[in-house]
Amino acid sequence: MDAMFDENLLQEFVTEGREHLANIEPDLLALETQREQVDADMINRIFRAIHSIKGASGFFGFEAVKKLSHLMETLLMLFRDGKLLPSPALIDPLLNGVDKLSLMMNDIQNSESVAYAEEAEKLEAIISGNPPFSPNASETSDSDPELAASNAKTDQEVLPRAFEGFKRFEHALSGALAFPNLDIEHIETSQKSGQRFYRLRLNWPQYRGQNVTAKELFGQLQSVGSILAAWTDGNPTPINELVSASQHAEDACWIISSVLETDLLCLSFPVIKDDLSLIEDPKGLLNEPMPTVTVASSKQERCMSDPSEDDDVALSTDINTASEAAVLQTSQKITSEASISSESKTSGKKSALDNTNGASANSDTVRVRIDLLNKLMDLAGEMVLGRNQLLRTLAREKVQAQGLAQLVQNIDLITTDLQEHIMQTRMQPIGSVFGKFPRIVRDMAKMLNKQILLEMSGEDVALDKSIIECLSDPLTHLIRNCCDHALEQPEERLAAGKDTQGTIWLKAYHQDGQINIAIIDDGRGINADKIAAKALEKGLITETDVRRMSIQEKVNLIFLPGLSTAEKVSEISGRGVGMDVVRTNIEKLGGHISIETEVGQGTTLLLRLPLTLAIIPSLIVGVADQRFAIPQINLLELVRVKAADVAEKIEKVGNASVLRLRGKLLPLLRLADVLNISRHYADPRTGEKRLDRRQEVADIRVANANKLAGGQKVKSDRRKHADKLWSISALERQNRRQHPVSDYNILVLKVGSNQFGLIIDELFDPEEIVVKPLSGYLQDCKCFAGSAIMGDGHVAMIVDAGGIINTTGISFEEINAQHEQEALLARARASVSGDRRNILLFNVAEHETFAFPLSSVMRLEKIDLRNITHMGDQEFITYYGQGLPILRLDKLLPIQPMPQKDAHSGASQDAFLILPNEANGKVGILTSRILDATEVNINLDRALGRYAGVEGSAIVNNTLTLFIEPEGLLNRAGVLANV
Amino acid sequence: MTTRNIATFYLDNDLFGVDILYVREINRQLDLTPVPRAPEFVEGLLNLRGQIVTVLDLKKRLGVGKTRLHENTHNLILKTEPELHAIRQRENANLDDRPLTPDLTSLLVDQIGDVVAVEESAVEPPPANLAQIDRRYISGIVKLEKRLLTVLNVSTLQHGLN
Repeated sequence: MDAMFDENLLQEFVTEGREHLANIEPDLLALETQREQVDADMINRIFRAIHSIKGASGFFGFEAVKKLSHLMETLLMLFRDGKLLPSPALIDPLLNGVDKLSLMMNDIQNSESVAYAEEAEKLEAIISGNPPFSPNASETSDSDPELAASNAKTDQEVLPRAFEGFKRFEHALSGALAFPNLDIEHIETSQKSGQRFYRLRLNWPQYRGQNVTAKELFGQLQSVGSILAAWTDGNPTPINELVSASQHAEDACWIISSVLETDLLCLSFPVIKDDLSLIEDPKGLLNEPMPTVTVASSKQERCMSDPSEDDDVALSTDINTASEAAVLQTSQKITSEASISSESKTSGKKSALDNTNGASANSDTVRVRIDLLNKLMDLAGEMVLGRNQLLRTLAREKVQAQGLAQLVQNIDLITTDLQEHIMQTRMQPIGSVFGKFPRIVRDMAKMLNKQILLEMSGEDVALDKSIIECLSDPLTHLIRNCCDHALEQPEERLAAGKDTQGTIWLKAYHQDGQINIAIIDDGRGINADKIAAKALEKGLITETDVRRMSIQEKVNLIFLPGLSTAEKVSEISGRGVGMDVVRTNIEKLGGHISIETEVGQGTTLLLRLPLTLAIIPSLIVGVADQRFAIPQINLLELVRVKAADVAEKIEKVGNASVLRLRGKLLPLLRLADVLNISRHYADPRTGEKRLDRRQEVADIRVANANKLAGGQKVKSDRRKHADKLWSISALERQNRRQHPVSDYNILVLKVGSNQFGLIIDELFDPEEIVVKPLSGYLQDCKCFAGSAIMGDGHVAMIVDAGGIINTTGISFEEINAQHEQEALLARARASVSGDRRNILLFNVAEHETFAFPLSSVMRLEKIDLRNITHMGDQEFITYYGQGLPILRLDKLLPIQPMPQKDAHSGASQDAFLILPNEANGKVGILTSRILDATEVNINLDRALGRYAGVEGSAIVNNTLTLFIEPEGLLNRAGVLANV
Repeated sequence: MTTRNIATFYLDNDLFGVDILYVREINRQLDLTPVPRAPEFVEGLLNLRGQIVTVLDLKKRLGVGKTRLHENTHNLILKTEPELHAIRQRENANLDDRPLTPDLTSLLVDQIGDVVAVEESAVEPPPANLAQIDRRYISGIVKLEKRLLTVLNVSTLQHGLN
């Protein structure tokens, strides 16, 4: 056995051991809840898993693993035999043992240095507290004669069949031994050190056909186990003569002992799996194999007398039948074990997870190296590109050939299918992460003296392997938080009229091509003000912040670094690192976390994650003649600022240009500047690209342009032509930079809690791109997250929004300071009692401004006044096939009427209708112009409140504004009564 | 006597070469995507059948001007260290000790020359008075019949002088 082989075998052992341990845990937890109705299959399953770990560790010489698993096995045996009932007190040490074993498995070479004395002691105490055991059993050593003796005693008492076999063996001792070279002591000691016994049937002609020689087989067997007895062509053979005796032999039966399981053993030397059978009761060997020998040898004789080829085949089958008949006892046991494992497979839940339970269960999966999968992914990606290029070329060249279209379509479909399936190979069920939570919740509930029920669903939702791996820590944190902070003590819950048992729901489900993971609890909820107070106390925010914040914003403070609301820092959580790390981790995965909470009712945490990291949806944008990919995950919205509005909407704060977007200040950057690409503008007249020399985004230089315009009269013809092309107004004509081509395309990007605007030249289509990491040469390019090959085969760089912030050093503080200052000013204007309102500002007649509560606005509709029809005094407009009554404010309130436009001019007369919620959209309030939707902080003067339908007045944007009160207004109009 | 096969190429009119064991492929695919803010010697990225290749301007790297793309410009695409692994084990003699990058790298050259077989002993250390190019980029000089062949040190080209 060479070193490589050894290493592979060891690797196999560790992987299998980990799988076993992962499967044991849920079973143990289930066992704990069963109490009296103990599920024998479950115990058997756990027992087998622990046993195989013990066996293999003995073989590899990992003493610590072996000893610990041996103790666990002994305790499990007591469960199995009904000597003890599984209770939390007894399951605890087993779970701790599983933890220690996992620890050892994770670094198997150093497994000896893992301290496990405490766990071992507990296990021993339980085992020795049990009557059938002598008090001496507290020694840990396996080789300790006393323990061995007590074990042997246990064996006799708890394994009646083995005991029977033992008696038969004693009986056999007096007679002739069927296997003269089989040694009873050897069997006993081997058994205790976790050895398994196998019967290996060898049909030599078949093996020679595969160039397997007896010498080779013998050598390899000796390296993984030992040969205890053998017979060749029906005759017992001494081991040292085995090789020579096998040279011309026809068939043979070897009895082998090894710590390896059947599968592993088959791996370690070239033997056909079916030829190898496990002997459940090795001691029974001593008095039962005689008939085997006789039957087999009689067949042998027949075969020799009639050596036809057909019979050769018959021989091997016959021998198998004979051996099966002969080892009836053995095979019966094997069958019963197999049926147990198949039963456990059907009756057990989580079939996706426990596919490694029984020996035969994992035959429909193979382990594949990740790099091979990655390579396959790459190739599939290439295939897709190849297909795209083929399709394009065929379309371009207009190639015509019989059947070509079908062929291409076929390739098209297969390629798509192939890519999808290869993607799936990287997918793993999220259950592999969820699986550990029952244990965590159980442990925490115990520690915190709470009653917690964990309900999970969607364990089979599959995610990319890399995401699954990175998800484990954040989810664990959230679940711990739930147990520790969110759920109350039973008394507290009772007092609040809730069930004493708190519930945590952990759900995974698909939505819109993404995966959602929801963690919902019915606990105390998050007190927004408490969070805000804490953040204030820690100096993370200012008092003005607090006043400005909505409840949701306050709740979101929980994601701030350095905030912990736990009154006392506990062992489990509350060290002030946490939610911010969770959020960072989730966002690193391209995901998003949000929180919803209701005090007293509970909290919902929602994680949205992409299916895979390898492919990300992104928007392709252009700067100069280069294209870049912006991950959609960073993209909040697209804003187009008309060239004519630039001066009004874009201003400067400190050194930064900012866009005023719905009352918020958004720092602006040009992607071209960030990337040092020379800026170009498209000349509106010629479409030609020229170098743009503007320094500032807001730099318009209208005055200058006007001067220039004077000197450009000669070119007026051409300009007229261009104006026609673009249909721009005379005012806009004055300045090239106010031309539609000069409009700003702004991407609003989000990084953490910061937002900024990125000005780009052109917008292309969204595209799903495959992320390729940057090469070492480009490690310093912090603006990029990677590169990608686009559908047309070109490479595009993927813009990293976070990197841009770091590179350019946008100072959000300055912007925030400006914000604050404005907020202060607004407050200064309003009196102390001033309240915040979201309003819609509009005109009826010019110079008279009204405010309508935004929350009452159902819809706004643009109408043409010419389409209004009259019926008596009432005006109507056709709206979705129905007559919508129109309400004129000037008929209800003492205000200026809407100016009449010349009805005969033929020009369209636009007006807007406000459809209020209160009337359920059944009436439209006529306005001439919608000015703005805004948030104001005002102190309402209620002097005007004497009119029903008017709440009061206030100064908004330096204009006296009448605040409408919809319900009163509609009542007055008699509308509400009819709705 | 060991023989080295040198893949030769021209930068302007000077003959350079790298050991052919380093060469993965040579092509004329020059549809490059520039990388803003990248180091100056990075000319751009290339899609080589689904894999991304970083294309270096060899002239800029050596400090002998800059490459202007023309019809004879070629990509000389180098093997990656994983690809070189097997070769290193097979022929342990001729390669630089320093590992290459695991990234696919291409060198832009003005024109491709022949593959020249030279005796190991014929490769001389670079002369002290080499004018333009830093000696560390050079693995040796071979005197061919008519001209000098400068064999470049691929590892230094990739990792730079630091």
